[in-house]
Amino acid sequence: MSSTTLPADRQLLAYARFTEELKAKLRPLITEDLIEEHRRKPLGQHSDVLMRLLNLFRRAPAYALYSRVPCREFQVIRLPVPEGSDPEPVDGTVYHDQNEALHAVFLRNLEDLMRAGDK
Amino acid sequence: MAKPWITGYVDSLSVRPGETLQFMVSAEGVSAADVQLVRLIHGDEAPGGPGFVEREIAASMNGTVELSTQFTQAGSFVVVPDATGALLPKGSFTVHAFVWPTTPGKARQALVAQFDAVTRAGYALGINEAGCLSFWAGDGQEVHEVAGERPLMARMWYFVTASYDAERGTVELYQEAVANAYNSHLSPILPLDDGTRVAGPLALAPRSSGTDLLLGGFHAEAPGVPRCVVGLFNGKLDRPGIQGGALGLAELARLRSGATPSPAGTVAYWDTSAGYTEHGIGDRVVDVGPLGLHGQGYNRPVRAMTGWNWRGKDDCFRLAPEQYGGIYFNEDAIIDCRWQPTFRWTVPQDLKSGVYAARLRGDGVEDHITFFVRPTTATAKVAMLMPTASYLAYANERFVLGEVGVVEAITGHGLILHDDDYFLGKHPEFGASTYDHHLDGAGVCYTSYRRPIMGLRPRHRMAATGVPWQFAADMSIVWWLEQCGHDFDVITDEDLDREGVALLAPYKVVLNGTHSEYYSERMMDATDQYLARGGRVMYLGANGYYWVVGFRPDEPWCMEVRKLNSGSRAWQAAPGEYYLASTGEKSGIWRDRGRAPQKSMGVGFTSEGMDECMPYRRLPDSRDPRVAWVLEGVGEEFGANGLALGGAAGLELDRYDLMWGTPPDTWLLACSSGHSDNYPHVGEEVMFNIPGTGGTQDFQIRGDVTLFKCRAGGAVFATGSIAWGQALPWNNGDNDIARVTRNVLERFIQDGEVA
Repeated sequence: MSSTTLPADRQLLAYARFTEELKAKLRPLITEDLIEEHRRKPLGQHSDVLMRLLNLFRRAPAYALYSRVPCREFQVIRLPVPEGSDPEPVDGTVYHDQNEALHAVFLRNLEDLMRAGDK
Repeated sequence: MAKPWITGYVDSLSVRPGETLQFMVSAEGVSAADVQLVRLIHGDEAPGGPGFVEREIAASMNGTVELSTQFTQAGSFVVVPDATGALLPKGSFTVHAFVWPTTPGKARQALVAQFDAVTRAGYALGINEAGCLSFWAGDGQEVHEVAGERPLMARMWYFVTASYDAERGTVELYQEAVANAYNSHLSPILPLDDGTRVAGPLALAPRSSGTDLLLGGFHAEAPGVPRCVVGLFNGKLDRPGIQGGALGLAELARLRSGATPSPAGTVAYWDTSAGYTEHGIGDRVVDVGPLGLHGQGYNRPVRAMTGWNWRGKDDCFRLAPEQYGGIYFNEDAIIDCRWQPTFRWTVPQDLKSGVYAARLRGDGVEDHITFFVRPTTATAKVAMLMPTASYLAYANERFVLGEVGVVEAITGHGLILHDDDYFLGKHPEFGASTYDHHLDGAGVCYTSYRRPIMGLRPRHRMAATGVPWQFAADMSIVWWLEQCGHDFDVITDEDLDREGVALLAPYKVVLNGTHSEYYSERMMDATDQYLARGGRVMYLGANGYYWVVGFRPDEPWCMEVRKLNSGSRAWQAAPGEYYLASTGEKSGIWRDRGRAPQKSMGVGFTSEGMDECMPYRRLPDSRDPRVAWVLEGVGEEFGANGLALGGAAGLELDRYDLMWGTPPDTWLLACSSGHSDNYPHVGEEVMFNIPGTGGTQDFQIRGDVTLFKCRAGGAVFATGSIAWGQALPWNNGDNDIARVTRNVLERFIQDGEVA
């Protein structure tokens, strides 16, 4: 990296390195059982590994839900939501169960995490 | 075309029969609406509950109203009437100020301006788009500018001046940092090259704009709006003034040192440190110059802020007012939308006290404008105290828009946005909550209900938690009261702050809401006095009696809070800015002023998490014959269901703790357990951070059900959980939480000791 591309806030470099290392440690811990654990219960206490994974996602959330009909219809949206924008679901899937929708967010986060690891 | 909408507000949230309410409504894409008075019964639409319930009421307000789009002037500034144009002196003059900008370079911002962009007349000292000091002036035809070359740095104090020499046709700009070790973001040890002295020609003679002079903005027009204020400034100003003549360096150096300008040459000198009292300061900005052209704040520029000469020793304006000349301006501040009334309505004498709304429907769009009707005199033994101060604190929380911070890590719950959130995103002029930041990053310390508030809509759900919060959650208690068989009156925090214990005295029992978090001293005193005289409180929530807030008596619609160095806080006041301009009190949390919630309510804040709620289990005190009636009819475990995250104990939790003043004879009847690690122990109780302070490893993560007696037969019952209220309507009210609540209510309304 040349000096001209360094961010004004050098702490961002420490953040980027830390986050990459954290992700690298978490990727091998993702299993079918872990995904199933989240599917069964997206909210509440989880196993240590799942808690660590969720802590990562929750500190810098990339997705959220839009509920056009409260408690009854949920769609996945991308974060951040710019002020002044309209809802822009990532696809046409409408979930009628909140837990199912929260799990869909989780799967997208996982997909992003794994894809970044392939680079 | 934008999606049609209707929204509005009332001029007073709490009214009595015979009083007249004004409804301010604005709409887009809807030209007329049917108005219907409704009594609100329930809001939460979660499965397992009664859903949204309202009852239409015959009323003179019912009918059709025409709607239009009403303009909102956001942004705080100071207006100085200048009917004679005296603030544009004849010939040469100098404008000066101390300034602490927060967004230099964001846009053109005016500091001191008698300028009108429409007529191209007047002058302004400000900051241009490049973040440099600038003087611009117009003669009615053209506008010319002289600008500095070195941008001002954010959050640094400067002395800035513009000297206009009419004979030479020049303007000289001067800026010099006046940072000391305390007052600015960066230390004076740094070799910052940000001072400047620049002269340039001004090839016109400024002509008076004929307008008011403004501190923090200038006059302009906007589409559909004949007059508005733009060029809004972000940051602090201190002691601006206007001097006759183009001052030389020696005179400027004298002003820079903080000396009062000589009366002979002064046109105006706004001493922003003048006017402080033991009880705070208002919106008046005093001109100590010969003309006495005092200014008036618009949308409450924030006072009681440190000035250019703050030296870090005294932390309150009461100790050293001369160091508190800073007035903080924000381009996105809003206190009062000042819309024209769309209709008025006088509350009929026979209208039962309760929660009401004007429902407006037109072109497929609907809105509820909520208000609370209290009785002329008490009509029941029971009062439901609606925590309107806390409604104000959360009003238009918008922290899920734009860059999302740590909110999801706090809640442990995925964010769920609704149409209300997107509507807010399209309307920054409706302002933010005390959980948000202004555009420049400053915490929002003022909140008002003279603007549309999404959280005062009965169906509203908070994006951060996925469940109703504050008002909509409290409607679950109201629903339960509506069907419990006992008459009740509705009263509000606003009434309590104004009238004190006299408001509560007629009632045998006062129920508080799910999250009565924000309390003024008058509200705290009234509660204690009521209890000491035999009153009984059912505190059906958690994290209550927590933040110190203040209201000015003349503007009860506006609340102030400063978030200090402890407590669960969305922002933190800057050093030295800990005291309420509204009352002069130290803000922060009540515990830090010696009034932990445990002293009055038996329990106090211990944890929060929004992933899951849990049931309670009995403790031995519940079998004590003196208080066995509380949990009569419920099993060892109770509260395993609810509309909020599947249980009665959760969201936020309060705990019994003798160390913090829980009365020694308090019965600890039950507590919850099994909370997740998304419920950490609150920071104000953590002296050293240690691992393992979450629900699975710390016994303090629990909600406690307590009862204690006060003097003269008074008593307090507390549930230690926000989710308690939202458990009441579960299974149509046939549940163990409703049973316990009824047990307590029916004992509390009886004469004699409760135990």
